[in-house]
Formats: sequence, structure tokens, C-alpha cells
Amino acid sequence: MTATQDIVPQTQNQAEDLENLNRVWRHPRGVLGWLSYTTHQAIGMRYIVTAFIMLLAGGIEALLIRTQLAHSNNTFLGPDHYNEIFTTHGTTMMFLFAVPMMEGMAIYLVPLMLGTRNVAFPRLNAFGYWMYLGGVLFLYWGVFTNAAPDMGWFAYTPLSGPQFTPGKRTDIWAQMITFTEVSAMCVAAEIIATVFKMRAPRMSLNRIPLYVWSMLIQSFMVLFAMPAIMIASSFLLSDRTVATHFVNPAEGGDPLLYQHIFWFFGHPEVYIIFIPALGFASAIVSANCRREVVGYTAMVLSQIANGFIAFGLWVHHMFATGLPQIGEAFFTASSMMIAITSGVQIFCWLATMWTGRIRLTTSMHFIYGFIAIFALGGMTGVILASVPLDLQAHDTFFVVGHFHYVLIGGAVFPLFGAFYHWFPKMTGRLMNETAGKLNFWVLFVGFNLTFFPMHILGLKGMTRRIYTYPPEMGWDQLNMLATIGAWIIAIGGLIFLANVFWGRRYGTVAGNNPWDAESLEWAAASPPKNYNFEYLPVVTSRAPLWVPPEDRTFVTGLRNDRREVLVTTLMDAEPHHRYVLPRPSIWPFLTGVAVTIGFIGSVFDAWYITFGSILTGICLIGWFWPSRPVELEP
Amino acid sequence: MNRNLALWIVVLTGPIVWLCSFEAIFALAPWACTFQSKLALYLVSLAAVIFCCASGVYSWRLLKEFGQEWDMEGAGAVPRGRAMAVAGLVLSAGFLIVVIAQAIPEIMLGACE
Repeated sequence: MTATQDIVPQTQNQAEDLENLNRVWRHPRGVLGWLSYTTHQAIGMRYIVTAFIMLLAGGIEALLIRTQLAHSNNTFLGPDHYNEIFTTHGTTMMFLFAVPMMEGMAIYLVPLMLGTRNVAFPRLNAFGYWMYLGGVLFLYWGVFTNAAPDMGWFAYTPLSGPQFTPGKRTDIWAQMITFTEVSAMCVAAEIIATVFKMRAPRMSLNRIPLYVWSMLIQSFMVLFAMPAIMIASSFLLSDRTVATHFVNPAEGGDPLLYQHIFWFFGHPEVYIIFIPALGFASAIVSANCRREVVGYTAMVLSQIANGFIAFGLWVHHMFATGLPQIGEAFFTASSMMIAITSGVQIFCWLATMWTGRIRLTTSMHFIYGFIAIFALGGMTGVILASVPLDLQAHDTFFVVGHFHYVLIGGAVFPLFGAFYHWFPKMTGRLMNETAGKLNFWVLFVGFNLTFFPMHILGLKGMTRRIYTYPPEMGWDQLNMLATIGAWIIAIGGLIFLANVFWGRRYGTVAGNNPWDAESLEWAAASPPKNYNFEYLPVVTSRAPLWVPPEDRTFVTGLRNDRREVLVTTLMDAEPHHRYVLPRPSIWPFLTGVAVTIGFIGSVFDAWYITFGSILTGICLIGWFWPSRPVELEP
Repeated sequence: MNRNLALWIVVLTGPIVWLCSFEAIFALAPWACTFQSKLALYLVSLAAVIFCCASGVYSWRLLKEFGQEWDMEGAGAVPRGRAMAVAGLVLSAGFLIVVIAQAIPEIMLGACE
């Protein structure tokens, strides 16, 4: 294995090499074949499409909520339906849209950016998707069979306990959590292993793209945060189904324990969604300002700091629960400190724009929108970090306005920017830029019309989770404004969808690198072949595609008659050994089905855990049955 | 000590020390009220300050060993090591500030507030 100095690697028979690669990496045919895909592009796209459908579902639920609240004494929805819809909206957006969407984008982009051919554990990748799909189907099966959860996306006890929420609604919510968190941890393990061991040669730690750094940090956060929510939901589920006494106060359990565990996950969750968006912003700003992001080290360090401090904020969701004030003050300090690390990144982007040659593409519009909205959301966040101010605004629409500014401004705007930025890579065609800019402005106006009035409504005393209000409260006009804004957002969503379908069919053919961007994914074909790169690149700079072509180098010597990839060292990405990835397999799907049977069945009868475990064990034997060379000599 | 291990230690010490001290002082807050003494809180914060300072100083020494040039992008162990040493220095200093910010309530508030 060598790194040659040739621009185009010299091989004996290039056509034969390509034919081999195409044959070896070809997707299996038929329905069973479709269920067996393990390439990262296919799995990533499945995540993205499914999560986008969840965004639409959550968006429709939001429209129903806003329509109900448009004016006082509205009877469009009854209180029970309202409870179901706001719970399903929150659950969908947090668990079934935001995190899986970020994971899907990472599964698609990270191997390309690292210059490798797939993620480290392709079968685990496929299994993770099937688990996620299981969670989606389980929750919406409940929604369509009058068993939708109705106790809020956080499921606080005792409201979610067996006394106050009988039936299966809460159980479905709790087990849906298990599905999605298993999926998230599968992805986290893949991303960490891929980033640490499968980077292109010489992509040392100080050359990793900022987006990949953001996903690495997010993946570690997932590994530490997600077990907490799985424990919380398992406590809740076992209290409800087998009468344990963890968090049910009627049986001597501790409801505050539930809140602590839930928010130990819940606040990092915000950053699990937000940190990948920082990576999107860096990639988009860099490509469209035609220079590297100013302050690479500062960006990486502030993201690492964000990742840690995010675990020290959870009690600011619990300031009203009567904890010791001195303990709350520690959380005020860390909640305010995180504004500093977030601010560092905003200044780095502004400096990049200031010193770059800006190209005002649609994706850049979304980044400008992100910076403006997120800065405002951050400011109200600092307000809510203060205990006395938080107690005044607690459980009001001020909080609803704040977290939508943070989550939509901080994550969804960069995500839409990312869609416009990487759509040509994923499909081979460009979306319409004029429609894209219209899309941005409609979303920006609609967003601010919807969520800015909520701050005022909150300060005027409108509490969250009320299905209607009397006219004498004086909230009608601002609520109507917010509802109009929500429908404008829906129009923005439709413009985006139309642009996607138009671009897919009629968009200008993009070529490999339509934005003249610097990172390795733009060296692959658009859309990428299943093997990504005919010859794996060797990295000579943080901006490998801005290096003159004559200075670029490639890896030669990998066998192309099997799914072989290069494993490199952790610190400096020096070539270490070749590794053969497993072939496509139906076993991840079958294992997913087996686990799903166990998970869903256990909600109704605990014996299904045993039954599901046996089935899963059988499937795992098939999955890991040795059928390939694992490692070759270096 | 293995150089790479040392670099990882200085990068991670500041954040991990802060996280441990933070969890510890939050867990000790009710005890401080029960025993009407904030000594345990002070000790934890002091220990965290010392660890962060030590990590920062060690990062500085490593940085000097790698040479204090600005190039942190080049290939190989030296530029990468320099980048990690700078990371250790900045993270140690940054989390020292966070530790101090969290020590302020210990001084300002009573044990049972």
C-alpha cells in the first residue's frame, strides 16, 4: 500500500478496477436485497427521508395546535385531543425528527468527508435504522389507534403514572424512547469508530473537518446522555407494567428522581441537535466565503466545551421544584457560561464572512437567519438561566418562544441550509436558487411571526399546555398573529418540497463540486458511487480540495475485488492495515424485527422480553456467522 | 509518560475536573445545609482549581517542547501535538473560569439558601 505522487493514479487496468468496484459494492436486488443494504449513502438517505416525513407530521401537529389557539374559547380541538397532539408534536420533533435527521446527515456525509468508503460497522448502521423505524411506526400506530401519548413529551410522574394516565398511551411513549435511543447509540458508535480509525491518510486530528468534529462530539454526548433517558423511560415503564416503585410517588417512588434523570438527558439533547448544526454552518460558511473558517482551533475547542458544559445545565429546567438555592446557583453559572463558548463560534463565522468573498447562496441566507435567530434565542436563554427570572417565566409561552428560537433557529435553519448545500451531492442536481431564497424569506418571516409574540404572551401570563383561554385575558391578537405565522411557515415548507421535487427532476446538473468547496465529499461523484472514491485520497491540508491538483495524492494498493477499506491510526491517520467490511445482509433487518417484537410485546406482557431475546439471539448468530476475512497484513 | 497520552490528559483534564467538581458540589449542597458548613464545597472547588491550573501548566510545558510556532495544521506529530497542547491550555484556562464562576455562589450564599 503506498501513497503515490500522481494526480491520477496509474494502474494496469483502470476500466477493470472500476468494474470490480461497481460489482463488489453493488446493492443486492429485489425486496430482500433492498432490506439488506448496508452502504452509508443508502442508510443515511433512509434516515433523512424518514426524519423529514416526521418533520412534516410534527409540522401538521403544530398547525393543529396553533389553529386551536388562534382565538379564545376555540372548540376546534377538545382538551383531550389537544393533549395528545402537543405531546405527539414534541415527541416527534425531539425524538423522531431532530436527532435522527442529524444522524442521517452524518451517516451520509462523514465517510465522504473522511475519504473512506463506508462507516466502520455497516450492519450495525442498517440495524440502527430499522430500530428507528420501529420507534416511528410504534408511536404513530398509537396515534392512529386512539392510543397517542397525552402527558407531555417529558412524561413527568405522577401525571404519567398508572393512577393518572391509565391505558397504554404512556407505555407506547416510553418504549418508543427505547427504540430511538438504541438507534442513536448505534449511530454514535459508528461515527466515533469511523472518525477515529477510518480517516484518509494524514488527516491528523488537527485537520479533521469542522463538521466531522461536531459529529464526533455529538456522538460522545449521545453515548453519555441517551442511557439516562433509557433508564428514565424504563423506570416509568416498569412502574406502570410490573409495579416497581422507582418514580411513582403513590408507591413510594421519587418523581424528582425521574426529572433529574430525564433532564440529565434532556438538556444535552438540545446540544445533540444543535452541535451538528454548528458543523453545517462551518461547512457552508467556508465554502461560500471561499476561505477556511477563521479560528479552527477556537471552533473545535468551543464545541468540546459546549459538549461538556451541556451536561451541567439540566437543573435549570427544575428551578421551580424547590431544590437548594445554592445548588441552583451552580447551574445558573454554567448556563451563563455556555453562552461564551457559543458566542466564540458566532464571532469565528462573522470573522470568516468579514475576511472572505461572500457568495450569497440560499444556504448562506439560512446561515444568516440562523445567526440572527439563534443569538436572540441565546439571549432569552441567559434570562431563563437566572433563577428569579426563570421562576417568573416558568411554564409560560415565554419558554415556548425561547426554545423554538434555539431549536429552530439553532438547528432547523442550518439544516435547511445544509439541504440546499448538499442536495447536489446527494442527487447530482441543483435546487432552484430563486425559489430557495423565497423559501428562506417565507420561513424567516413566518418563524418570527409565530414565535416572537409567544415571548410577549408568556410575559402576559399565558401558560403552556392550555387548550384554550377566555377572551378577557387579552391574548387573542398575539395568538392570532402566531397562528398566521405558523401557516406562513407551512407555505415555506411547501416551497421547499416543491423545490426538492423540481430540483430532482429539472435542476441543473451539478458536477462533482458546484460550490468549489474544500472538503473531500466534493471530490466524489454526484451522487456518490457506492464505494465513494475510486482511489482513496491522501490529505495534505485542512482544505484538501483547495490544494493544487498536482499536489494531491491518492492511496493505491487496496484490493477492489472485495469491500476493502483502509484503517489508519488515531492521532495522525497514518495507514495501519486493510480491513474487509461485511457484505450486505438481511440479518440486521431480521434482528431489528426480533428486537421490535420484544420491545413492543413487553408493553403488553413481560414474557415478550424473554421471547424477543431468544429471537434476537438467533438473529445475532446469523449476523455474526464468520464468512469473510477480517483483517489482512499491513 | 507516553507523549500522546500526556496530550490527551491535558486536553481532557479541564472539562472532566469541572464536571466532577460540579456534580460533587451539587450533591454536597444539601449536606452543607444539614451541617451548616460549606467547607466541603470550598474544598471541592479548591481541588478543581488546583487540577485545572496544573493541567494548564503542563500544557504550557508540552507546548514549549513542541515549539511555539503558529503552524498547527501541518502533518505529523509535531504540529498535531502543538494543536493538542494549545487545546489543553485553552480548555484548562476556560474551565478554570467556569469553576471559579461556580465557586462565587458558595461564597455569596448561605449554606441553607
